[in-house]
Amino acid sequence: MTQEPGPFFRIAVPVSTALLRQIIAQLDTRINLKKLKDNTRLRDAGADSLDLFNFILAIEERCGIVIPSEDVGQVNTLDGMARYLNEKLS
Amino acid sequence: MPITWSFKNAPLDLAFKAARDYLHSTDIFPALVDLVHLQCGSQAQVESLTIRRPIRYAILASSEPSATDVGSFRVRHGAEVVTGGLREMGQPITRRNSIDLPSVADTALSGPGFARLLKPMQGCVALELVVSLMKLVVAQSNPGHWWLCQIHFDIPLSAVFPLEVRMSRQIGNRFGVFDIVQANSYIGSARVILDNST
Repeated sequence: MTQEPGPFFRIAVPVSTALLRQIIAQLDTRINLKKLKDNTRLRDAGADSLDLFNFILAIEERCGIVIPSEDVGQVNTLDGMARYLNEKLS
Repeated sequence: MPITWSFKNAPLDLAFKAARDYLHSTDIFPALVDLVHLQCGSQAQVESLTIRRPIRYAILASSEPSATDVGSFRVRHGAEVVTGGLREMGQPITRRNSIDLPSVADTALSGPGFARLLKPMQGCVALELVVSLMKLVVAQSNPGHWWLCQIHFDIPLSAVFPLEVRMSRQIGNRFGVFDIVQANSYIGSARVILDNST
């Protein structure tokens, strides 16, 4: 099923990296989406601390989950975040 | 009501405070409010302010935000919302005021993750008190440096008490989210970066 993201759409599995890109595009970030490959660390595509913070919070809000501090290292790429959410939400 | 800027770039007249050699939200926010009221009338409100790193040089507010800006702000006037950018100009800040944020440690009620002021403190504006309350909460668990990188108001901050901040989310020792509560109603939120991470 294709999800049509509005400003506050909720995420359902399966989560794709394309969907995560759409979320980033809705946020006010420094992330260069053209430079961001699925396995690129978000920081390497221009994200600063605030961008990472806001990305995590946006995901939490849309999924209704809390990403524990110890898991933050797993979600610093689009691939990693999609894999993490698909495990967590299924 | 449409918001129209009559400027492209407007320098903000700001001063360092006490021994601090960087600007933060309590310096910039009131200057933006003055600028916005001058430009759009007193009904317009600065809804949010984002600061991406410590600001050490004079800055200007731009009606044309750029990806390289050191921060940004959003202004609301009725249903209309516009975004502006904050840009460092490279010139030093030459003015300094002797007084910085007030200490609320002796006046506020506080506990794990919250701090509350029941009444105003003489000579202090509400935003200074909000940030001082956050400082008090952060100090309980994070002795290191911290900074407020984003503040947003659903309802304009005013001199209404009790005034409270509650840390609603903390991610490790790196990030925190505060709810800002006035007279027991949520009015906005703030995001802080802890421990000097950049």
